[in-house]
Amino acid sequence: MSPRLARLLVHAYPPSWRRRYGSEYAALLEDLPATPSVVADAVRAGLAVRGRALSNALLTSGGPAVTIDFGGWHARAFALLAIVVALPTTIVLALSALAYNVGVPGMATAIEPIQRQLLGSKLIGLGLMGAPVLAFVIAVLPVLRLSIQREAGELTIAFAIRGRALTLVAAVLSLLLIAFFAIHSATEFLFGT
Amino acid sequence: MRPTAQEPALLIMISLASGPKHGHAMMRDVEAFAGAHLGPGTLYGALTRLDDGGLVEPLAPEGRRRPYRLTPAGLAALRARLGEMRQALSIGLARVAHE
Repeated sequence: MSPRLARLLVHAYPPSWRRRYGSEYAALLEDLPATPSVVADAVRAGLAVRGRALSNALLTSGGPAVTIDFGGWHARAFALLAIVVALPTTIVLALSALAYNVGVPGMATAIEPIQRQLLGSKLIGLGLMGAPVLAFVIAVLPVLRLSIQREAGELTIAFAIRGRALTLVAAVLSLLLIAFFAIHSATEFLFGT
Repeated sequence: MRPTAQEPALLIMISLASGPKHGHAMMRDVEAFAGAHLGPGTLYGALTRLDDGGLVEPLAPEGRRRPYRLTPAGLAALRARLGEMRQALSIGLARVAHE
């Protein structure tokens, strides 16, 4: 398989494991064909090691910290993908706001047929509402660093986010959309409008 | 019947009993003598546990590949496990012969 895919699969394992076995494991993966069974086995095993490390950190005192860290892996590309995922929802909401809140002449007539079609399908409706949540996860996950450690009987969980301007844009856009849907749903629930 | 990789650690130890090997060589050897295909994750999962338990040890890397060998404790554990299996096997064969 390609060195790029091998490096990605090595990242399924926690950093402590990668420091010890990462280089030789990547060399082994590069020697193997990228068949679905090889990739699935590597992902499953990596996640199993992460799971064991996490449960050790939660159950044992004074053990090494478990760190979930994607190391800013392709953060800009993921931020861009997040914006693309959130774009259809953004466009639909922006057009609705222009038509009904700002009152741009002729806009309501123009978008009504499209809205009828979109709202007629539950799947598309759910997709438009779920897209901001998915976009937020796609944008933030690559720059998130989560560290869990249990020491002297106390559990310490630390978050850190590595700054990326485009990630911030994608995260803020997603959060605004999520907030809009939350407020809209709450208003509907409380006032039935 | 094709053997399955239910005991990857045992298969790895049997492979290393014939001399030090790196990961890919172990996979090929296990496939040759047991007909079992060990995935890379399965192989390194078992290898990590054996290494942590002091049953195998890494040697100096050859390029990016790192060979492993059985430790004396690993060889003793393998002998003991194979002995248990031989006993179970002989009893099992004797019993099915009477059926």
